[in-house]
Amino acid sequence: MTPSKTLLLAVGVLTALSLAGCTNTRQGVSVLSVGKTLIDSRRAQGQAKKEIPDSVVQREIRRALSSSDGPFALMQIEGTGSVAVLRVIETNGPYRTWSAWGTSERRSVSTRGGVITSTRGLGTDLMSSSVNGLLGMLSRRQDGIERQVLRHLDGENQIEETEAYCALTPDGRQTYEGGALRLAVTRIDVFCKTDTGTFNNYYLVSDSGRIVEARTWLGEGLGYFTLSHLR
Amino acid sequence: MIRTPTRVLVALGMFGLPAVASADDLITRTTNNYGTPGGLIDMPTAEVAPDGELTTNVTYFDGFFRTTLSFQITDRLSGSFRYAGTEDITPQFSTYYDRSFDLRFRLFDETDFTPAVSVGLQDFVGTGLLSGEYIVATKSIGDRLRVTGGLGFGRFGSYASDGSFGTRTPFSFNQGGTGGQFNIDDWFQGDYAFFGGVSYQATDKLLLSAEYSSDNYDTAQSAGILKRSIPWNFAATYQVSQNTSLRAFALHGEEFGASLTFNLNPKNPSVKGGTELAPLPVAVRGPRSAEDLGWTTQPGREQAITASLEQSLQQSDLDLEGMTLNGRSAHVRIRNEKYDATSQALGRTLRSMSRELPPSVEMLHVTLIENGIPASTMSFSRTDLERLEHRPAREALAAARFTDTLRFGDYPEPFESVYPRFEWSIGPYLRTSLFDPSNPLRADIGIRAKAKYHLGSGWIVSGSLGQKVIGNLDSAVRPNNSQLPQVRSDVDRYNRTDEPFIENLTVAKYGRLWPDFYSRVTAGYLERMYAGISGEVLWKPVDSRLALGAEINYTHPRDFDQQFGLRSRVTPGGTIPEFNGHVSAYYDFGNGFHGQIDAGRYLAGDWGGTITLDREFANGWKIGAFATFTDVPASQFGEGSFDKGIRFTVPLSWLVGTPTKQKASGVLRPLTRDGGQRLEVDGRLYETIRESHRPEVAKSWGKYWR
Repeated sequence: MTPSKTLLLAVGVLTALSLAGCTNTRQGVSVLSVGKTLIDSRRAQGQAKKEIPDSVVQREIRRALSSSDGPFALMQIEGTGSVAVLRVIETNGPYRTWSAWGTSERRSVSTRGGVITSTRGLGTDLMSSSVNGLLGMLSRRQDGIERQVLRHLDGENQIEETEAYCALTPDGRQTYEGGALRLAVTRIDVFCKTDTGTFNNYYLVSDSGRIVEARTWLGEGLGYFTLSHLR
Repeated sequence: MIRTPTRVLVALGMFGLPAVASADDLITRTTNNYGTPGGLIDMPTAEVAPDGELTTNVTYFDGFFRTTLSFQITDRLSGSFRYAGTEDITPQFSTYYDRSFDLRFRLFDETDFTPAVSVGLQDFVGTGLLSGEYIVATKSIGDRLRVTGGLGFGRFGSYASDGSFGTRTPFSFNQGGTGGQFNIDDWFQGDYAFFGGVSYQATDKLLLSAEYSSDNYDTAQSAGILKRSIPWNFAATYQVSQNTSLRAFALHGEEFGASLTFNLNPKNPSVKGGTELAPLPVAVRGPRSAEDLGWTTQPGREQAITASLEQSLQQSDLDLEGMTLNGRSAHVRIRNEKYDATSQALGRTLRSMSRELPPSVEMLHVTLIENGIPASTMSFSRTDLERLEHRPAREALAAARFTDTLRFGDYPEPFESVYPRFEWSIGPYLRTSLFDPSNPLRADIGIRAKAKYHLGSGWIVSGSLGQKVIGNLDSAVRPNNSQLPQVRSDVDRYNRTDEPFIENLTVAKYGRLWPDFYSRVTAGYLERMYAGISGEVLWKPVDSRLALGAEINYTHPRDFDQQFGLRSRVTPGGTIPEFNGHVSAYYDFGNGFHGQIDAGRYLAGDWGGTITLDREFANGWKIGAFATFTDVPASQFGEGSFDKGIRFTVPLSWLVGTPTKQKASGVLRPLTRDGGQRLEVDGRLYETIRESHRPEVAKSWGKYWR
């Protein structure tokens, strides 16, 4: 081995070896767990999208709705193919925080007016967003341009704002069916432009102005989420 | 009238306009054969790496190797540390090893019509084999082509010189100096020559470069190890992956070689924002519920609340050490061993409090405990917590109040269950010795067990026991010719033990003297080479970016086997004095830079000062350099002339994507001699309490709601 190669190898090993093997403190990140994280992330990259049969989803929805009278929603993550039935775990003014029904897994999304405004525990989380103006226009089913702001953490844990200008276009009436809901809605397509790119959301809005389904882009890392209300 | 979608698109098109004209400002992730940012081969350019970028470059061609670590210190300034080896360049050594430092500064950015201009120093401290200075301009033409031209001195002025300024001391292997001097008198002196080149980004992954080199490789040519037929060099650089590139190059029509570059940027963690699970949502109180104080009269209610809060905090890996609760306010004492972003520990504590405390409790106070002493108290109104949960994080920062705990007044006593507490860990260790000419890398790998016994508030007994498993550190046999008391240069003898060794075994007492003042006394086997007593006082107001400290140590050298014995202070270079100590000033410039000045008496009895400058990233990465100047003259200090080095800290959370306070730290010294050496005692106050103070907490405030 040439000295230079040895030197490089050393840099890698150095980091690994400064970790504890095992410990009774909370600081413990062991060599093994670092290795596992790296392998997991490598594996996740090569993972194919999950395909969940619709019959399974529908069965879960029925089970959820029969379990309680509270609000439920179906969340679909396009990037990973994940599907989850959500229930409300907390309410704060106009915001609701949702978590997967039937599990105690601590991952959550929060919504305002039926639209996801933040996520927690999903990685590259959406920390908060400003969508008030947009929600107002959506509930009135207006066309026009409105601004929205998405906030994420950058690599140094600083808040990074993505400002998007969005064009709303009401795009015809249709019938929405989801869980216990069956109603006439207006589809509104929303085309948004940021400094670095564009995204296409859509919203299904009932005649009373309620958003019953929304496909929204939540940032580079998270991609598109569709939230369909079931009650 | 235009139809709606068209109208909308026209408007959006206007919004989009400013985004089109974004310039990349001559940024490159490629490095040249000297490991400095740039797309040419041996010659420098005015390009810069992305801010904060770290690159490691390894270049090899017949008989020459160079390993260079470069750091883009600011968007304009970069620094490099290089270790180069040349075979048969001098009869004195089979391979001549040389360490060198570079700096480059971007004077002017590129505009539409003018090029970017940088000025640089190569090998500006050290023995000078690679020394050269230059001023260089680079201009992009279109997106793919970059043209560079420059004027160089020293090595860069050695071929086909166009003229000469002043005089320059020629390089010699026998100059008899100790190296490590700033050769200021020689900068931009002597022969100068023009150089230039082009780089062309042929595809996304392939960069082609050609240059006219003004480096004559004088020393190598006269040693007969390199021929130079033409002044032209060519290279093709292929980006193998996001962070790795491989280059093949041809030098002067004679030599072929290859180089490999690894890029890493502290600003790009494995997962932005982390993958840890969601915090609990804030529980909002019902209207008028805050008026109900009935719970205060219920017997046993307070114990039940304490127990449920403790359990809730446990779920977030936080330890509740104590609590005082009354009708309108609650004050908790928290130990955070988990979250490297303190703001996140605070946010999660308050979330739990909102869920467990009776509605009448309005003011929430959190005292953070470090090493058993209160480091700060943060206050937040529960109404604000409920109101701001879904708002931008900066609004919560404005609502948070930080107070020195002693100034705040009373803080909760620890529960009886908190002390005594025993902690242990077992893991591997690595110890290296770099840059020894006879073997530039030696290492030992072993196993280490650590234990800590927290006896009571601020009282900690701790120890670390190691056992070497395999390694070759003991093969180093450098004659120790130090003319100073041998305070560090006997390291080889400490490395030679095959028995279990005690790295440290101490009892420490941390304390709070007055508001803003912190204290520490540590006694026992302080580090592998010294036993004794170390006392420290630190002044650091909770919202101050400035801290002042003083430390005094009584030390005695330990036996080389690092067990319980001590050895004589008398060494061939002189007697190791009993006392050493420093006064220190720490200042966080607030722009990502942190400075530290220590002045006082070093281990060998030399008096002087150390200046340290770190680039600190808000995610915990630190990369810095230090230099110590004492009253020991260079001739007495020996090779290197003065103590200097670079240091780094890598937060493990950056790598694994979940919060942990663990970090990997290291110091890289070109040489370790006896002048300017400090005692290495664990748990110095500044780093112990700093994370709990407002300036540090505010830096990573984005994690408050995470």
